[in-house]
Amino acid sequence: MSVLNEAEIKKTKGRALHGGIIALLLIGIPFQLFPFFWMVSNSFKTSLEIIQIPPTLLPETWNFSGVVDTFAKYPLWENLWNTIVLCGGVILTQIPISAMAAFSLSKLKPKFSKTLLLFFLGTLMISSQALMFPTYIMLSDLPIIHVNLLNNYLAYILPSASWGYMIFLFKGFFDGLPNELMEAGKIDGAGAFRMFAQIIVPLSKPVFAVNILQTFMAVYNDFIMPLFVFPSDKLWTIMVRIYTAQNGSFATWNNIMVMLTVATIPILLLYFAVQKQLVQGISMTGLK
Amino acid sequence: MKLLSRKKSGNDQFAAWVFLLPALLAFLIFKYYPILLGFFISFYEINIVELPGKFVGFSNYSRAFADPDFYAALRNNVEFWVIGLILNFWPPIILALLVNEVRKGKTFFRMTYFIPAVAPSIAILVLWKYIYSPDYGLANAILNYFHLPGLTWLNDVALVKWAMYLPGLIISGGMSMVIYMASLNEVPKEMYESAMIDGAGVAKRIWHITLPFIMPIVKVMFIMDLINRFNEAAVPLVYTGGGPVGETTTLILYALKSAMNNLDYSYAITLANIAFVIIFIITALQMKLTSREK
Repeated sequence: MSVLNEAEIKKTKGRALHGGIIALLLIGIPFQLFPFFWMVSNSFKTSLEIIQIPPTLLPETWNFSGVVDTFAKYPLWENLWNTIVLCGGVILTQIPISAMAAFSLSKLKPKFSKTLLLFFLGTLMISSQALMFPTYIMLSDLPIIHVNLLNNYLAYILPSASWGYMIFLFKGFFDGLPNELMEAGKIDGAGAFRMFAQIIVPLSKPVFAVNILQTFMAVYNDFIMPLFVFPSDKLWTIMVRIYTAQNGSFATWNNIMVMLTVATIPILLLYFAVQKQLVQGISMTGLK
Repeated sequence: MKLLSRKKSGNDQFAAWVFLLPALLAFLIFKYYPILLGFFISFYEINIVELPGKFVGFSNYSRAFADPDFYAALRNNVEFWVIGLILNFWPPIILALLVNEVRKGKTFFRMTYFIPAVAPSIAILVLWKYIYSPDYGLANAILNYFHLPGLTWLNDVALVKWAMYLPGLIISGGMSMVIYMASLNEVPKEMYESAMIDGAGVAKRIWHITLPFIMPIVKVMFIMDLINRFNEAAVPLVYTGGGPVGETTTLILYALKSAMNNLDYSYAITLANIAFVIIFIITALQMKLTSREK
């Protein structure tokens, strides 16, 4: 509930306070949006105008040569494709694995359920960065089969398939579904597989949507792990490309701005398409 | 009810384990095995061609505890944490309190203030790096406009950490805001009403009702923030690569550099293990403290 109540807000003092809050929030908005506006605007400057003192807000002339130049210098399409493959690969492995495990723990309740939950969630204690080094060594020479997975999409996809947070989110949602559903299914003679596919999954669309999105964003934003497991630039994602380009001296600032725009616009569009579900999902599954 | 919840048949148990199997395998192979491997390797002088290399006992650990760069990195983590608390921790709370009061267009404000959270973080970091550029950057252009001398921002030892976290003050964490708002939404109306009967003004209600109500979430966020600050690597890596003169090299970044630049994997893993132990101790202490309060 709001702190100000309905009666208060109709009085002069309450109305002034409410108006002040709205004004303050409106003033803040341009700051939130400025980075996006500026990276797009900067993408259309020449390599000279972008290092001009003082900087211009909008390009003096809208110049497409920077965009053309950036795509010629860097294999951005390839990088975007790699990003999609990794996002898709992780979603297709991690989401089913986590949903199935959570379903089992929540509704089938095998022996040692509590210990198993701890087994999955305990891995959240150790940070992904700390695990990166041993994972790298392991991937360079997989135990038993002795295969080197580095420079293979699987080097990123397989370790990412296990994320305790996802099991936590799925289990939280499944726990909220009434157990009578399972009993009803059992009376109809449905096995666990049919119950999962035909009863639980259709009822859990919101949590699937939110989790797929969260995974997508986590993979899309990641750049340290892909940089690590893909020493050759063939499999680099757009984020790795941005990181290495801005770190080197080969790229001009307008090249980099084009990359930033290319990396940001798709995800912003995606956000506008699903923002309602996403924000509700975070409030729903978040830290409650 | 008793009849329905009869003992689970062996069939059910079997299905339960089939559903768990993929996750069990994935976690065993790609989480627990690397955790053990990391622990194991920290006692070796690793040789990537012929694993595991030479057993060296605790010497990787004693090397870390005698390494001034290790202590510098640890100090940087602590400073990042403190600066993060000063610049970045509280704005989402204030923002959530403000947006929560809006009557019409609450969704609009929540959506707009959430936008920065979906932007790829590296894109925003790189853009700010450009803004901080000493000669052609926007930050100095603004200072010059007000006839103030320009700063060197990311090259200034005293300023660099503040500059890195400053954007979080202006463009605040949309993700945290949404989480706080979910909690604010659950404060019961009756609590405010009875406080008003007692004559509590807006400020008193916020202080005595709203803040205590959302305090459990604030505590969780505080812990998460602490953990994130001790795992900090991406922000300084993009901005400065750890410089100037190691001023922003955090523990994990130091580990990263040992692995990538010097191929010193055993030391990198040892540093990461130490970071893990530190985080583990802090989290355990905090959990103990909060559970005692209840």
